[in-house]
Amino acid sequence: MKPFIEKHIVQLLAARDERAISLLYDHYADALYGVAIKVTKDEDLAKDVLQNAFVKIWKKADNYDPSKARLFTWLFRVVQNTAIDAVRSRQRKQSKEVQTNDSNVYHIPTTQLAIDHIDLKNHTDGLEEKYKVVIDALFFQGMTQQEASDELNIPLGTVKSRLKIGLRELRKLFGVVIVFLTL
Amino acid sequence: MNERVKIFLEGDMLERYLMGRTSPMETQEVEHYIDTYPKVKDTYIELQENLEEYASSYAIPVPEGLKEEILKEVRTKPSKALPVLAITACAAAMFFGVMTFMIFRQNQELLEDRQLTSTLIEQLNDDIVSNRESLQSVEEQFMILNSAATEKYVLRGNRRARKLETVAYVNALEKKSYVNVVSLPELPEEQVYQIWADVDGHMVPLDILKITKENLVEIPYEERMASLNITIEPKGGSEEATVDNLVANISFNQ
Repeated sequence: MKPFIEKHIVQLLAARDERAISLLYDHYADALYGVAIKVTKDEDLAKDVLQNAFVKIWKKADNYDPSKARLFTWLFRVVQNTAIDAVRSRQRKQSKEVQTNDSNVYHIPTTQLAIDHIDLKNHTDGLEEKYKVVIDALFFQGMTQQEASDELNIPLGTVKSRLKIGLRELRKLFGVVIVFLTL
Repeated sequence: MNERVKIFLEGDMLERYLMGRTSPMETQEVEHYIDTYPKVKDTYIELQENLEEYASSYAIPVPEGLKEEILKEVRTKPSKALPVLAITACAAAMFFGVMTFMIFRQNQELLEDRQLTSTLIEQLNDDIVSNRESLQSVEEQFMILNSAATEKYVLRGNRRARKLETVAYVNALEKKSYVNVVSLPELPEEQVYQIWADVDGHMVPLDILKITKENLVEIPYEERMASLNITIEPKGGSEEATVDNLVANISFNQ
C-alpha cells in the first residue's frame, strides 16, 4: 500500500503532468509486467502489452475515479484488458495462418506455451494449488466464476468457496510476510 | 448480516466489478451496495488489497529501456486524442459536402443537357417547317411543270455566250414562270446575266441569272410576254436592258 505516493500520482494524472507516468512506472511497472506475463505467457508480447497499456493509461487518465477504485485496481484492469486483447489478436492471427498453411502442420495452442525460463518470484507458494488455480483464473485470465467453473471443471459452489478461502489464506500469508518484514 | 447483503456477497458480481466486467446496470447496482452497506464496502476494499498483493507477488523486473520507450511514446502522442465522434462527424460532413457538390454539378450538367436538347428540338421543328415549305414548293413546281398549260422554252447563247443554256417554263394559266439555268459562261466580276421579258415592246427586268443548287428558280410572271431575253449587265443588274449586250433570246411566237 502506498497511500501517499498513490495520492500524489493521482493528482499529477489529473493535472496531465507527465511525471505521473514516470512515477507510475517506477512504482507499478514490475507488478503490471508480471500481470501481463501471467496473461500472455510470452515475454515479448507482455512487453508490448505493458507499453500499450501505459499509453492508454496516459490517454484515458480522465476516466479514473479515485472514489470508485484504488489506483492499482484501475491499472490492473487496463493491463489485463490490453493483455487479453493481445492474446486474442495473436490467436486469431495464428488461426488464420493455420487455415492458410498445410493442415498437417501442428500448432501448439498459445495457452500451452511454456515459460519455464521466466523465474517467477512467487510469494504465494504457501497457498494450495487448488486455490491458486481459481484465483489465477479470476484475476489473470479475466474469467467469471461461472467461466472458471466450466473451464476448470469444478462446480460453481466449489469455485466460490475456494475463492473465499483462497483469498482469506492469501491475507494470512501476506499478513505473515508483512509482520516478518517489520520485525 | 442483512439477508440481501449476504445474497449479494455470495454471488460474483462484486468480483466481476473488481475486474471491470460488469454491465452498466450491474455497475450501478454494485456501487449502490458499496455506498449503502459497510460490509460490502469493506469486502470490496479487501478484494482490492488482495488483488494488489496477489498480483504484486508475481512482479517481474521490467526489461531495461522500456520506461524510456514509453515516456517517448507518451510525449509524441497528443495528450488528448481528438474525440472519435468529432472525427466521424467531420468525415461525415465532408462526405455529404462532397456528395452535395457532386449532385449539384450533376444537376447543372443535366440542366445544360436539357437546354441543349430543347434547342435541338426547336431547330428540328424549324427544319420540319422549312422542309414542309420546300416540299410544298417542289410539289407545286412539279404540278406546274407537268401541267399541259406549261410551255417550255430553251434559251441558247449567241456568239458572245455560246455555252449559255437556260430553260424557261411559263404557265399562263397559273401565271407562274420558272427558269432552270443549265450553264452560264464566266463573266468578269463586275458583270452579270439578266433576264428580261418583252412586254408590249418594253423590256421588263425579271431576275439576275446564276447557277444555283436548286434546278428550278421562280421568276416574276408578266402578262403579255412576247419573248424572253438575256443580256449582260453591270453587277447588280440594270433598270433598262442594254440591247447591245443581248446574248440569248426566244420569242413565244416561234
